Amino acid sequence: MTPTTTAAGPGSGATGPGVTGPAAAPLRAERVTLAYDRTDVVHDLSVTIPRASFTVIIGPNGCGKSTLLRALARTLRPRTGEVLLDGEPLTRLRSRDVARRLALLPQSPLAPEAITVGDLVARGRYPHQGLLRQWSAADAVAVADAMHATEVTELRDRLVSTLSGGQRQRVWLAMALAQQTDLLLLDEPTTFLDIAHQFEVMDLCARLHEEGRTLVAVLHDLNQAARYATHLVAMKDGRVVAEGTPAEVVTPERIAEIFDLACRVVEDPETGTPMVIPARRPVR
Amino acid sequence: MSAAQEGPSLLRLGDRVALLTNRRAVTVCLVLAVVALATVLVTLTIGDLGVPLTELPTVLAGGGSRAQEWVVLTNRLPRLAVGLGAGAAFGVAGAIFQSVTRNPPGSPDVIGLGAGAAAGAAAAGLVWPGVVPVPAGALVGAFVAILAVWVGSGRGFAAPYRMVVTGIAVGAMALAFVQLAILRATREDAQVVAAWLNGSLGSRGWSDAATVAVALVVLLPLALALSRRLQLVEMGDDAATGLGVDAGRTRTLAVVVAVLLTGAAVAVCGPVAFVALTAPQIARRLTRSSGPGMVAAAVTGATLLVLADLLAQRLPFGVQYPVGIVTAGLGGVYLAFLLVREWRRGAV
Repeated sequence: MTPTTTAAGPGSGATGPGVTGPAAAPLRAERVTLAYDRTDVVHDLSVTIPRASFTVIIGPNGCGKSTLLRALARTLRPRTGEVLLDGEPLTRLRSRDVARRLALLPQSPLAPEAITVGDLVARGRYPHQGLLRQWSAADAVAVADAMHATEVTELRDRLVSTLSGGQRQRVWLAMALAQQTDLLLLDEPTTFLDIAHQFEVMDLCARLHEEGRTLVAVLHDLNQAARYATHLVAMKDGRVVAEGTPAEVVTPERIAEIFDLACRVVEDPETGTPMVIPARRPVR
Repeated sequence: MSAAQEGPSLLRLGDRVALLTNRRAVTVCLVLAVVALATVLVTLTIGDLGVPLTELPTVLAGGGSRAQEWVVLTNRLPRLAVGLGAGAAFGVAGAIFQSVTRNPPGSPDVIGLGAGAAAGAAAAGLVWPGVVPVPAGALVGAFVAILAVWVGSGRGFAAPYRMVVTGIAVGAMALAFVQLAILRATREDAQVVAAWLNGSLGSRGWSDAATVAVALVVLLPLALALSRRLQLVEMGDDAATGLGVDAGRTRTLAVVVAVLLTGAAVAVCGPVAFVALTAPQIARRLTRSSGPGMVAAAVTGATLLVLADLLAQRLPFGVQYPVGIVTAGLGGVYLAFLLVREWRRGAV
């Protein structure tokens, strides 16, 4: 369950000999400028997601971390620069083909009215289906596996609208898993969940990572990020300011630089990963 | 692992085709089709001029009296065909718009499309007569209205709520234009147009039925092909993109299909109010489906319109009312119910 804390730099991991470096990365942003309307949020940023990593993007509010994730998931088109999936520009790939290799759990998807858990998870099979061939045995297996992995099989016939927040998040994850992709992108998957459900979702993500998937998540909670990530990307003002293992990134100096927060970093007594303890501050 | 492999219900045709269906929806559609057929039979047989059920097959085969033939083949049957076709077109257009706007009140009636078509028809019929035929004017009007909504909402069709609000404004302006056109027109012309604007199936012929039939034959398959993508877009643009669906392109295509359907229906029977609003909603509730059921919306719309027309012809006030007055009366109540429900949901 405890993620590895040894260095897992770009190129290491599941790639074969001689195929190291950024070219082997499953997902890479190359000098992207990202903007909403006319304001640049991210400027000339490059980042590489190591294969088989659990990469977590952290940073203060408004630093552009969700924006970067959206660009990696092609829900936001870069103004300049490119995002490469296995070395190919996303813009040159058919969106449906991308959806067979990369799945996304958006920040706040809308559950349709009156949909059952089973039907919602089955929608994850869309990229594998055709206009006239809308269901196959492979779909049934993928949906069953996805529901099993996220432990929602018993909820199959329940309406999504009747579920708790934690259950609902597991159902959305199941939908993304049903896509059967190696890459899974998650935009703040624990927001709006209580602490027990947050860890439930994070444990599930860790297990999906251990099974060999590459995960990229945006997280708010630094200690969760440090506990579960194998690779951290720290952003500030639309730039990447630090990258590496949690041990490399989560240091008092770095945290002070990124978040303007004075803190101590101690060892998480449960996992041995770095843990941020904000410094006591005078009460105003 | 022991997976319960029951899976969804499918319509299989050979090895290549497996269409997702919903058993309940199939049942509902069949029941509604029976209701529609019963309505057709009642409409043909009712009243002083009605043909008794036993003589109907003979008349349909061309063996009735001249009077009977006129009543069935020239008067009532084309009227029914137009009602069924236009009702189906309104139903599908409404299903598409409600899906695109993710909002039950976001139907073509509310969003100014019907009013736009009416303004187009008024322009073609009264203001600049003879330039284009009235139906073409209706279609142009519908497109101009949707273009105005697209521009006015600022972010195209990607902002459902803005679309509804802009649409209400566009609809109001279109109706103002219609009033202006009526004021400028001669009394006789104005009366004809005013009657048409209520939405009426009175004295419709086979050519009207053919217009709407062609539109349905071309556009219904397109709507069906788009319906799964629309379902996914309802979950939000990001979720849809994640599944490989281009949300923007899906919306634009769907809106074009819906505008063409509305234009065709309005061209043959005027902007019959609220069928596009109510039919998809009723269909969704009856089928308990979680997406825009195009077939169910079409069947519901067709049934609703011929039922309402039967009611309009038989209202006990001695006069025949245009069907639009009946649908407006009933639909208005329904719209109020919807708005109150949405408002409560927002307020809780």
